[in-house]
Amino acid sequence: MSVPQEIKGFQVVPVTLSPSKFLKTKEPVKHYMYIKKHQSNTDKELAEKSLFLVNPPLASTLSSMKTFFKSIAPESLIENYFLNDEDLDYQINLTKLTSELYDDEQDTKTNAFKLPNGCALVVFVDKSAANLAFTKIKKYSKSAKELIQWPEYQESASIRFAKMFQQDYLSTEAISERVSAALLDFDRREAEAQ
Amino acid sequence: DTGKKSNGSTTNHKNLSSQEVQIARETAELFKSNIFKLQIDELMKEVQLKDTKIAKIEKFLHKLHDIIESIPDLKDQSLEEVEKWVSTKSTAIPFNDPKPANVNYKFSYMKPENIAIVGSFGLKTGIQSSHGLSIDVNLTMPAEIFQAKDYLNYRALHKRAFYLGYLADSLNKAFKSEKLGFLKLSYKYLNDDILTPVLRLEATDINLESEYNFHKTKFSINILAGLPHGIFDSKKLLPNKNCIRVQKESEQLELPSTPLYNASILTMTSYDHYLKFLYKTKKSAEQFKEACILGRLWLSQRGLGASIEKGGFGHFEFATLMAALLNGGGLQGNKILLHGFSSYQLFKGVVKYLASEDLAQEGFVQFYSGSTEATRYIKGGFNTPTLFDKSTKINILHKMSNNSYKLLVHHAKKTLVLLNDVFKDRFDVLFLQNSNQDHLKFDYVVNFQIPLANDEDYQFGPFEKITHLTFENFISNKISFLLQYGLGDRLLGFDICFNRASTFDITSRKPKTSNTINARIGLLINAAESEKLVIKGPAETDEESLQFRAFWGSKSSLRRFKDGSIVHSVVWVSDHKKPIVISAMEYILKRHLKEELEVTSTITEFNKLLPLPNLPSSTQQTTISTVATNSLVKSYDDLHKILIKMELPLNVKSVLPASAGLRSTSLLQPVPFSVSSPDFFNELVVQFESSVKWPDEISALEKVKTAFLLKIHETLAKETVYKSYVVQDQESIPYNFDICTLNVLTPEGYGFKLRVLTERDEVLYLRAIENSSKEKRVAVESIYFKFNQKYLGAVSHTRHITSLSHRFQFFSPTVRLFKKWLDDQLLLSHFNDELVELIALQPFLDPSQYEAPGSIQNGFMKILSFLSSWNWKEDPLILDLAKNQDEEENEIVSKLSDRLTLQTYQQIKSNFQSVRQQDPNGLKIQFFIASKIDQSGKLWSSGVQLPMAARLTALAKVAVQLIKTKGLNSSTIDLLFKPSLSDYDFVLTVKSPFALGAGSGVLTNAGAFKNLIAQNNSYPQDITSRFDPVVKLVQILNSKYKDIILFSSHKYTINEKNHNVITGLFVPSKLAKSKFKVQLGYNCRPHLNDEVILNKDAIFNEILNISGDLASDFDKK
Repeated sequence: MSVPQEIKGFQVVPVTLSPSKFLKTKEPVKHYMYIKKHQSNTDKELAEKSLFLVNPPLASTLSSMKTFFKSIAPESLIENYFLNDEDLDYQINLTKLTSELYDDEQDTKTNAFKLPNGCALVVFVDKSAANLAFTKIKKYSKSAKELIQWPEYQESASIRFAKMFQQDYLSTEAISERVSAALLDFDRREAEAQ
Repeated sequence: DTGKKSNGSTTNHKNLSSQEVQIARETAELFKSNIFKLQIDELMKEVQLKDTKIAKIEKFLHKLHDIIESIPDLKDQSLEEVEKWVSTKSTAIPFNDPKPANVNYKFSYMKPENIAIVGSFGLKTGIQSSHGLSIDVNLTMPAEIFQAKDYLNYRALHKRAFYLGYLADSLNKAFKSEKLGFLKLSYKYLNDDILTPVLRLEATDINLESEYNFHKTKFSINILAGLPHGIFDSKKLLPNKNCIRVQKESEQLELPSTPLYNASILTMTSYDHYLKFLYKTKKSAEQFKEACILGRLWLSQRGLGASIEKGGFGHFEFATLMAALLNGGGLQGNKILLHGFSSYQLFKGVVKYLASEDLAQEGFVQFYSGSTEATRYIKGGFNTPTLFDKSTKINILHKMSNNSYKLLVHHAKKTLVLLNDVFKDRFDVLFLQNSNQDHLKFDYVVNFQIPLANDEDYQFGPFEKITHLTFENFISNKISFLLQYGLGDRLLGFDICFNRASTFDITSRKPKTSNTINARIGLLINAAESEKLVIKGPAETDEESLQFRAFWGSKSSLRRFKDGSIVHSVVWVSDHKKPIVISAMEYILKRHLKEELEVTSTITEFNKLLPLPNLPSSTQQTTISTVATNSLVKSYDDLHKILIKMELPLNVKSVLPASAGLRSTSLLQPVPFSVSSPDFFNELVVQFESSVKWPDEISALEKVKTAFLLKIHETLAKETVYKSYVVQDQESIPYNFDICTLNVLTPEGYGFKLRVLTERDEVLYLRAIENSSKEKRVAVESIYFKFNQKYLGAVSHTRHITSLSHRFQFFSPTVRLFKKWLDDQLLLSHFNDELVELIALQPFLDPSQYEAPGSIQNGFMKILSFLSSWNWKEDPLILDLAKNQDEEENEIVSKLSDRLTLQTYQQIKSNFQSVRQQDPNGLKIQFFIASKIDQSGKLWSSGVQLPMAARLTALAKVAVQLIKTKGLNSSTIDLLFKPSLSDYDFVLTVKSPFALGAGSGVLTNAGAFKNLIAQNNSYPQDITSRFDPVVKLVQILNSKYKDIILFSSHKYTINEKNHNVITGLFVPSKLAKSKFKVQLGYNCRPHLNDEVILNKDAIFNEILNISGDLASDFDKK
């Protein structure tokens, strides 16, 4: 059974995952991303230089995205990568729900980046880089004999998890600064409100 | 117009109140409540014997009657003739030991004087039961067979044995000729009394088509051979008389009385007599019959019965006591029960009498079955349970021992409390629930075999033989004394049974004897006393000191105590596997019965399951030891002092404990420097003095709290040796990303996690709910729930559990074991500690027909039994955290105390109803567990996923079923704690790169190298380096695959291989193909057209890649 190359305007983009010795499969396991050009009414400038991704692999970071696109469209330089894998409800904002001082303007701005869960935005340096990358992606998914293998994690799991624990333990200096900045900001907003 | 209507209804109401309300009130009085009456009515209908069955058995009984009538007489046979007769038959004569020899009296069989149905079938109080009902048919032997002196030396019994043997042989012959081949005859000792063999008649499933075959009715028939009433001078058979003459060693010795023998003979003469007595009572008291049925059910559900093994108090004894009390029972013969009483009142009256009047030590009951003279309670007991019938000279309770009586009284007391309960409907536990399971009834069950090589070993001499009749009775008596003397206050009661063989083939004279007897002792523990180390005995000069020393042997020594007294005493050494009660019992039994006895008890298997803390001498601590917790609490107190004194912009007002460790319920006991333990950091909720300055916005408020924590951190660093870290906490409260805690490491090696609560928090969370849109309200409410749990609920929960674990010594270790089971079954990570602890409280707070658990085995089995039978959908679990079981109802006391009031109880019930109205199937809130401190009933259970809640019930059911069919032994206990991994869609085995068990303070490989295991005595350089990486892995998996996979893993990795497993269950609805959507939110692959389907292989691959070097195996369905 052949896999459709396009679903609802999205390009179906298969990659292989780095094999695990515990998964007894004969062939490398395929993972599918669904990619199209980004569209947005609020931030057109950003939209036209970005590609919208559904279902990026779990290990996707700015660096793994760069590696992936380098092998498909080496000329297209990536500027940024936004991923929502948190599965949070954007409509629940405790600060907004508990305070009248909440800055609504700020809210609309950040909303532009509020991607659906499991989706990502690859931002290229300019529109043409994005267009080029998309053309190459189409070609890849149409004809690629050899699928690209998604980059592996760069660090071993034990190190990755240990680092996560370390990150929870905040440096006193950093947190002090963050607290003072936040409180200054709060004072300012309170003063403005009055 | 409306006025008229309302007037009309008032009149109606008045009409009602005049008559019907009166009736309703009377019923309530007569029956506790109207519902109770309905339940009894329903029950009576249900247990009634079916007419068709009765017709069937009656048909056979007529036939049997005819057959018996046609048996020819065989008169005046000498013993030699009898022996000759036997030698030609395959039927044996059930002569008692010693078998008759050199006797000059004659043996005869003559047509019975009378054939009558006696017992409950005769009285029509028989009921349906799964194991069938025995019908007693009494054949009264003709008086001519006996002589006046036959009551002596087994003579009447031997004559009776011949009568029975001849009858058996003749019946067998007749059954053959009448083509009744489906009948099976055997001998049976009636009620385990070896002096009373009877013929037992059963129908097998052969020849089912025969009109007489009553196999399907489940009835069996006991053919009793009765002696004529009044044939012997009953005064000579009084309990204090000797009727078996044996040789004495010297003339001075007096022969001991033979109460069991005497009672057996007299009982044989009065089967018909008691049927008449009870029948007369039934005629005079309308509800007597129903009350008998209630009593019968009540006894059988508790495993009590007329046989010696079952305690010697069955339906007959119950009915006779009730009949006696209808005729008096007070000191002056005043009536305890009235003839007009309802069945409920009669039943309750008997139970209350048993619960409140002592019939063994302080007094006894004397009644007249043959006249109308009043029943009296007479002060001064015989040190044996006594219900004495002056008319027949029989002590109706002669089969009871002091300990079986004690257990009966215990049951009666428990039942009385249940009958007086105005909160809950107790009908089920009173009459319907089978509570006759050793592991629920007793705290410990002990088994051993007594070898019978040599009677002299046990001083079972001729005198003992005639008083006790059987070795079992004798040894039971002896063990009773030993336990009473040696364990005393440590026990509330005990039950000894031997699995006696009571039925045997008619080809043998008596049951096959084996060279050992199996003994089983069930112990009911007095939890406050059971683990005491020292037994203080008498002083050297005391008369009793000789007995004390003889009893304890080398264990006894003279010791001086703090109060200056010098007394003989015994000191026990505690042990983590064996409770002191069991060690002491083992010692006593070996010393006084036989050195080689092997005493076993499953409790050691259970105790072994509890992880031991890696602390000095922890193998010598009992399971209820609080040593480890005490050190942690001490460390908390020190930190508390420092914080209270600390100079801060606002003073610290309180630092309240909110962790399982601090309330002594953590699975792993607190051990210094064990930073790998998931329970290492103990939560403390810090509150400052009140202030109006707290910001009125949630994130700013959290920032200010963090500023305070930073200040504490600074001060600790400057002024103390405590180390502390500000840690971000993104897990506790969803959508509040600004929370920080201060993790403090104390110099003693304990960890605390400080979180700040202010008076603004709750206001803000509640405001958030108010301001949220309708669609998001539930989600925001659940945020509030989390806040309530962490900051408010956990504190009050900790306070209450701490006090409860002082009240119930075995609560802490039982919770530990329950948590261990949950964790082994991969469920613990799905429930919060508090929920688990509340469930575990159930058998302690509402032991109902039992005692609060006095061992971890009992506590654990009761939790499982509760879980297996509780219907969460229909029943709210309401816990009264302050109620003291058995406490006499005292209005003033209960008003002042913290007890649940009826009003609160009703409120909680209505809360439950409204929860179920919204969620009738319990899909969202499966467990409703409420108490005075959480009347919502869902504080700890909201958010529990339905499959996991359902799995808990299912696993408990499987466990209970397993124990029911296979019994409790080391292999079933092993099975209980083994997770069934095949239930999951995939299983990932992971391995921690360092030893988590040792890092969590667990003494691994206990016993073997205990001296070699070093204790941690310092913190690692970077404490995060010793945290279990699997925790993060599971966190990530849960957040990435939240809606499609349910992950389970062990919360604690304490095995020596450092293995954990992460199992997954796919959410079934996500397995189907679906139209492609941007918001789909899960890893999918293209299917057909614009359809996609879950990409399982990619998910597995990703999971393995994330797990990286932690993965060590993977299996999928």
